Amino acid sequence: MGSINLSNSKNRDAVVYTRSVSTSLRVRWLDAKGRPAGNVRVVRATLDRDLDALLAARGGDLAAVGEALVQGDPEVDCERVGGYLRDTSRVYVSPDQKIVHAVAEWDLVKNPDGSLKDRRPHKPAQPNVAGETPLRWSGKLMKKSEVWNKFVFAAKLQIVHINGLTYDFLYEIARELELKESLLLVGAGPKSSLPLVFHRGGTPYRGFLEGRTQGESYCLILHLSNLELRAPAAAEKA
Amino acid sequence: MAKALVFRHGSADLSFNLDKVDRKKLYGQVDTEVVDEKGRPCQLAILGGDGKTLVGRGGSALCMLDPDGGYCERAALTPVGLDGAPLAKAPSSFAAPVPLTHRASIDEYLSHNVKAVYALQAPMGADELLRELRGGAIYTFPFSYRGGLDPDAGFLLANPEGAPFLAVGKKTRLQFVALPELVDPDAEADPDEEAEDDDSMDFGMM
Repeated sequence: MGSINLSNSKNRDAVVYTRSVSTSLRVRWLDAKGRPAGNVRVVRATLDRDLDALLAARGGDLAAVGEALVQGDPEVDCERVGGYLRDTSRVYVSPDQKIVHAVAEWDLVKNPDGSLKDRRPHKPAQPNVAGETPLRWSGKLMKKSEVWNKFVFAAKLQIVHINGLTYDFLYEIARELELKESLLLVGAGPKSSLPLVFHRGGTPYRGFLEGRTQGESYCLILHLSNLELRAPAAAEKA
Repeated sequence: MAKALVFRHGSADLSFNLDKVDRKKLYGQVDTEVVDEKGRPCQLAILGGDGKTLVGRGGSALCMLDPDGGYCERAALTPVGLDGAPLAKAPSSFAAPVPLTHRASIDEYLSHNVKAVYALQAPMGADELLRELRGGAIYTFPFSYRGGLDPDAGFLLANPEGAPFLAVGKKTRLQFVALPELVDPDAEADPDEEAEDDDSMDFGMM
């Protein structure tokens, strides 16, 4: 369960919980005797025997690599292939297959046609939803009947109270949005114009807050979107 | 271009071409380039638990093993739910026409996480269906691209410009929440204890 620092229309703010609402089917696999089978990750090929390594060992001669493959199994390390991969780490490797400890990361910004637009130092997005500064009430309300098919709502979080005071706080927000039949645009920053980032390096999203109520209970949903519902330009021209 | 998806609307079978919509096509993309101190490009690899084995992209695989450690062909295994009930495999939605018989409300659609969107190219003869979609109709149906154990929910809808789309998503478990029921203090109190307590305040205990 995560947290979010949220303001209401009266500029009162509170830190409340966010709850994941994703679902997935849990499957078990049974063998012919009805015993459960389990997953393991195994080595198929090692980096020191891949095509680049084989080419380097033969002076870049692809024909020589082909001949070696016909004659034997230079790509197979019998000691390692088929072994279990456990307690692994992710590392960066240089072209000469050495682990690199000091790396520099760059962002390559590309246009929709694939052309390079910009190259800049990589700066991971910083979380901005649960800090000391609350997410302001943007006041930008969009009618649910008009906005549902404008954006692709790829993810959502349910916002829930942590005590009696925040129950009242969230119920009022849900009721207000329900009565207005609208979704509230939620963003970070003083003008609520910045995308929401939930963890360091996480995907930035636009937030849309929806409220539903049933008697004394409420459902406050933060829809998350990073995509408009429109066809790519090429498809539109076609 | 992906294989055409056929919808059965009334008595008509309408074949739509699909084109996946993603951020890369609409806005471009940001790739990350990693270089070492000499400016040479680096690749991401997996370092095995032995501290020596380096495995690059595509250099590992998932295998299913029985309790004795023997390899199992996936096709020879039976999928069951957590309750032990066998699970049936749903066919691919491309295998047969998808009947458009159920409509969804906006709230129902908004209760799903949309994981993929396809722009649709409507065939000749789809005018009536397009008119319904542009009027705000949302058709819903089980959808599975390749067939599988857990079909998604498919939604046929139109954007504000009237272009038809297929949205594929998973239902979420949204719940209405309320304060817990308050315990009735009269029902919980012990009558004998209450008689002893009375309204008196025992200053002697302090």
